[in-house]
Amino acid sequence: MLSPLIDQLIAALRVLPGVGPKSAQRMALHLLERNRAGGEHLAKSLLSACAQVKRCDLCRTLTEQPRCYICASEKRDGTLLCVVENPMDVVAVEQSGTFRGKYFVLLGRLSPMDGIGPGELGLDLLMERLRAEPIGELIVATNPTMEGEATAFYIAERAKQLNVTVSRIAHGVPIGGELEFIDGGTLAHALACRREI
Amino acid sequence: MSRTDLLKGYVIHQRPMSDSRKILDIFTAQAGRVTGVVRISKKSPALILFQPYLFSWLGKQEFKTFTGYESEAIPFALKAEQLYCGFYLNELLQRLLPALDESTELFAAYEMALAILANQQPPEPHLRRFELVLLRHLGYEYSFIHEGFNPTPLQANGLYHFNPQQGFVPITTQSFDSPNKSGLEYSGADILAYHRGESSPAVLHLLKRVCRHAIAARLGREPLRSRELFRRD
Repeated sequence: MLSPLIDQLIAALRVLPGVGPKSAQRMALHLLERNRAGGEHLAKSLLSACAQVKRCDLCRTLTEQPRCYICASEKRDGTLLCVVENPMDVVAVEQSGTFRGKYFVLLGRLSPMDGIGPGELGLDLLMERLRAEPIGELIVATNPTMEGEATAFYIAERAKQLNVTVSRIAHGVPIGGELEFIDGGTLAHALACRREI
Repeated sequence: MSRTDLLKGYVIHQRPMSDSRKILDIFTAQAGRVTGVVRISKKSPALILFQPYLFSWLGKQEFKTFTGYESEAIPFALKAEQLYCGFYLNELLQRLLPALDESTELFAAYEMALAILANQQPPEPHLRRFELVLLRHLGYEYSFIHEGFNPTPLQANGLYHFNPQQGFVPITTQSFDSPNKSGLEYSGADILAYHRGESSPAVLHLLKRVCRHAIAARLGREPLRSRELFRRD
């Protein structure tokens, strides 16, 4: 509408999640009119990230190093391994500030109808790590969906054969939540998993 | 039917279409398998497998627009291998059930199977029952007392092949040498025992092989992915 190059930029910005035509147009014009240096920096960062960021050899999260900073760190507890579905989940657990172990990222969850079976989740690599490393506890932090639960059970069954303790993150009432607004399924789960105080 | 209000159904599959839309396959009694798009937001309640919902939708074509959903009850609490069985049921429905085809009996069999799975009871007889109801719904009802396509009673001391089009056919020297033979033979005594309502291990084994064979014939070349979960390595 404005010029071919600007239209191309607007169309390119729409690859981002949640960015529709209006937002893309605003972003493009903002960069061109008010922040060209920021735009150039964005372009360079995108190019170098897309060219260099790969997956960590050990945990499969995103990194430009052969091993991510968590896997490479000697301060992290190598006997604790937390299994998550996506690199975003690693960020979420890290932000909780309470976990000092290492991670394994499945890049999905078992979902046979989407063609995601055990082979697609790198479970062979996970089992290899359980055999090779002195891992004492495997914390399965897949999402509390039916697919996430099935994935947790599948992993637990195999890890227990290697004499590794397997635990599952708790599900239930969120802190600051109110019981009357919580769905029945979550509340039933919270009651079933209650603990003595 | 352009507008449908609040029909009970289960999500059998969901996949993202965009940030704010999902494509849903649901299973209902009145309309069978219904596929359509649903708008979602961060505030919308999650759609969970094996949970009954009340759905409403719009549309004259096969692909619908879901206009709303609300949970009808808490989900069947499937755990461990029962979850794999639940995925198996959903995959069967997704692959074999034609869209928008009333399925009251099949829906009842699905709910019964989920209830049995949630109660941690041995699932096999109920999975087989579901498979047989599904096959009947698809137009394949097999006799466990007569030979396929003719009224000759099965003999307890006879040996039979199973043909997914016909049912049980006696093994003759000719059929045994036929290149189309399935390689599996069934004893007349076991087939008749199932007809009498017995559920011994031999009968369950027979039913499993028969259902697997009949379903494989309907599925075509693409195998069921949910069976991979049951494999022991």
